[in-house]
Amino acid sequence: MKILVLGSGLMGPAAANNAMTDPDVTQVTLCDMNLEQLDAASTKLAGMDGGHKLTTVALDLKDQAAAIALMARHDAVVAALPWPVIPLGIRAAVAAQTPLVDLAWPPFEQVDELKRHVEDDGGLVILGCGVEPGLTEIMARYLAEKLDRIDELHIKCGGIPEEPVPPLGYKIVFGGREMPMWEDDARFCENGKLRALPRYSGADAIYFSGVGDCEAYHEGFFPWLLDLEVLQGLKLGTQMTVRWPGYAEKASVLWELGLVSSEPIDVDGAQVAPKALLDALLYPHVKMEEGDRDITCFRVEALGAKDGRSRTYKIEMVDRYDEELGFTSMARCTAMTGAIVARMIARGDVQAQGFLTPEQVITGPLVGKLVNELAAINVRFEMTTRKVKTLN
Amino acid sequence: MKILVLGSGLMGPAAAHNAMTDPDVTQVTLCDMNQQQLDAAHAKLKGMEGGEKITTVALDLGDQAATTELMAGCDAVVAALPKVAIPLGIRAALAAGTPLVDLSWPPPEQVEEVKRHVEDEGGFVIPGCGVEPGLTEIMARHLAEKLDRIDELHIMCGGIPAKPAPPLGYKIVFGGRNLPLREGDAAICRDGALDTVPRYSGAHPVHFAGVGECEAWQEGFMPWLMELDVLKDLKLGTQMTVRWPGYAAKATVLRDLGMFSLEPIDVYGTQVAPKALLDALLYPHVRLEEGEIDITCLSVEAIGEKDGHSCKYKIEMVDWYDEELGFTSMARTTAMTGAIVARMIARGDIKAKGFLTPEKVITGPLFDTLVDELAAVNIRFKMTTEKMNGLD
Repeated sequence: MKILVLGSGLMGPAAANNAMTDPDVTQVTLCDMNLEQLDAASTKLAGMDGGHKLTTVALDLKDQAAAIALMARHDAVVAALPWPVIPLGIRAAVAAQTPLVDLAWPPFEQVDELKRHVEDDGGLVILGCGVEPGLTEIMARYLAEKLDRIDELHIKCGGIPEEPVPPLGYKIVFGGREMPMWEDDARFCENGKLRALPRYSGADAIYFSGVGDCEAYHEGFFPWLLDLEVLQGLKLGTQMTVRWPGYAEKASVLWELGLVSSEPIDVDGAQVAPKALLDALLYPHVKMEEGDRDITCFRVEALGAKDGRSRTYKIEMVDRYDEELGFTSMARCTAMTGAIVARMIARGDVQAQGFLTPEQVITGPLVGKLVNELAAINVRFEMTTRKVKTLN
Repeated sequence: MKILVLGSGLMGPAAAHNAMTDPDVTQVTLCDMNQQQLDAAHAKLKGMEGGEKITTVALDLGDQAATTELMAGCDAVVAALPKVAIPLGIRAALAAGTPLVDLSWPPPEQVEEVKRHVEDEGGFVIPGCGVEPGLTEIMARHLAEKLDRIDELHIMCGGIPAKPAPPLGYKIVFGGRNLPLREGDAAICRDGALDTVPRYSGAHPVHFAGVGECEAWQEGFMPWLMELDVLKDLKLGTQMTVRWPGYAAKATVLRDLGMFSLEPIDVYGTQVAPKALLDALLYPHVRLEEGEIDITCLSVEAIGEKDGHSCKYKIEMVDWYDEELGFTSMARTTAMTGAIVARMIARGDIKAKGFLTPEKVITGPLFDTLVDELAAVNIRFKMTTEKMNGLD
């Protein structure tokens, strides 16, 4: 079994490591157009368990012929790429007819076209197969299907630094040099329909075991969750981001003032997007420094009925930086989930075709497998069951 | 008596108007290098009382010979200029030997040089002769001298729109297109010495009659107040800005993130100062639109001892947009104060020389004259006296 990992940035090396440790995997190829970054990743991975399986290849995805040839020699591809180049990875994978698991999503405006392309030409592409999106929806579907009837679904997830430091108590753990702040409204689900509400609103205190008091605010309910049969009649669905307390208030100010806008404005004759300036201004403060440690906090709660009684299921996960291997928790939870799913596909456990989100594929026994594989690398989930019955 | 007003922007026309209505004034000259703005001001002023006295002159202060000549024919000058042009106005006034009243201050880094120049040439310049700085310090000195001993002085002042609209509840009423937001710390007086507190800190609710609940926060104690004998041993002195509630919290977020910095940063190859982008981004939201009404709130509180008893004096003023003449309250309270002082000088009521702040000259009978002149334009002050007696 041969696995190809595209991108050697924050995520790719963790995906490669996960594939390397699988006895069924004979070769892991890590590629990037940034040779310096690729060499650093290679040096780091070479000494790890299964390091002898690793090969690195300098690859510019714009050279589609080379990308296709490389992909054709592998059983599955994990894409750990910056947004703008994801479509190049998907196109090459479709041409090579090699299944591709994408940790993120292609740029929004290209999604429909790529979806048509994958469906027309045949192939399997799984998008957003990380922690969120990814594990959050897989767990949401899993819990929804355990209930006889689901009324409410509440998803909360976020990556935070161990030490909250000014000005934001946040460090970038994915997405390059850009702050994960968006200008559009957040979404929630009400009676089966998506509705908008201000992003960063609804900030509530939330406690994670071993972490302490955090806050969670509205970020946006993933619309494809509503494609699931089991969530058709969902009364209330929320998806919130977890940060250290105080983040939402600050983000709200930036949001309200238009500072997260990507639309360039005229500043003394120069065209500058407010978000570009904000990213440049904040990067020195939010860059993960050597020695910084991150935590991923995750909670999915499903409220409804089971066996004629009120029932709540809650799955929680708190994951920390891997001191031994030097992988961020965000890379562990994101990239390793993608790598596990890629290996499932390469092994033939997933037979689907199309342009699919993870929760459409990872169901039934595959959830159990995924959870076991994650437990093997010490990403562990806890489930709480709450039953309510009347006293008379 | 002939009065020259430099600048026909937000402030100049109100200064010109105040001078026009004085029977002792025979000519008011308004000048600007922006012919369009000058013509608009002229069209507005000529129909008002005393409009026959108004003359306009297109003048670029860079032409110092023309400026000096124009000033030489006048008895006093009111400078209603952008900060950067103020030194040119002062230089010409010195050459012409004409006293100049500046509604604002020259740029901080040029103050020392300008001051020396005024003193060397034996001229007379009053900087910061508006509402704040200006009336606030004049009132502060007046109250401090009414007490036998002053312990605390608390100044609050601010211009706000009558209706607070998102995102800031603020509209620009002075200073062109730039928001009056600064990154430096705020000064506070403790035991006769200046100390600093974070700017925008100490936000607390403050009520103004007819306006409602506002907030006031640390902006900075004017350091020249400490040069007054009566304030040498002040235990606590604060100077706060008044805004609608919520402003300080937003300003604090922006300040903490470095958005007020004037230092350009690299944004994808373009050098941009965060404050420049913020001003460009917010200007459409904070521009005073046709038909919008502004309010100026002022409160000066002096706490100490009088006749052996604890005593507190408070002077308050709330001024509104002039619907009849179409002058903002900020222009009324700022520019008319400057114009009144300029007329006092032209009339010979003030004999001083040098570079002097208003509270150094407007004392005793001149204070009463100023208050009477302001009352004539319907800017009215209320004084509250609180005396405390022991019950035994």
